[in-house]
Amino acid sequence: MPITVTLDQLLADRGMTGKQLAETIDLSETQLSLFRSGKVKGIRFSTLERMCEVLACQPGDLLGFEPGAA
Amino acid sequence: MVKRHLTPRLALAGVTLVIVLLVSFTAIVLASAIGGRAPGRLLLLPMAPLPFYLFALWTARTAIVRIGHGDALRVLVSPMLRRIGWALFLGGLTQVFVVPWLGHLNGGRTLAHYDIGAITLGAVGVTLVIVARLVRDAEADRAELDQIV
Repeated sequence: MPITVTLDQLLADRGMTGKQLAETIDLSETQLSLFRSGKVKGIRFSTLERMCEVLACQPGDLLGFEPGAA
Repeated sequence: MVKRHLTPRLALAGVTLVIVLLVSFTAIVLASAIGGRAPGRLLLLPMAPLPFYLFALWTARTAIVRIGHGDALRVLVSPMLRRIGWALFLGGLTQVFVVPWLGHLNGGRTLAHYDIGAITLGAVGVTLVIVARLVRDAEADRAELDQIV
């Protein structure tokens, strides 16, 4: 999929685990794991907002675009 | 400790009782018809819709049993409604058109019977088939939305 998720790098930079982030933004670990691996069909703005608030980042820091990727 | 609900058990008992009564009565009528007694044969023809109605009841019973075993309700509802709907529709159709037509072949005078109950059942059956499709589509939409975090 051309849209890629770059959350892993951001979590590493912030010294936070996926579990901690999931708990903070009220998302299940399963859902966050699916998001991290790019296996979701979309993300709600409200979820994106909570992530950016907790990680102190912009939405563009969480997502990337690789044209031509499968 | 899982609390066992009384309602599914009562529903199961009720549906099973109705099925047993219908099958028992049908067996008596069949035995009477095979025995060549006139009242038995006269009763046989109006029972033509019975297999459809029994199928509808059996489908309902099966669904209740599966719900009792913990099968997901949302997986069961659409197929159950579709099958019951078709069964009721075909049963009503049989009652209104097939039974009089068969009677006509045996010397009767009508080709259709204005049976309000059967017509209503048929209409309800069609409605259930439509609702089953709506439920199936809604479930597909829900599954898609579940993939949006």
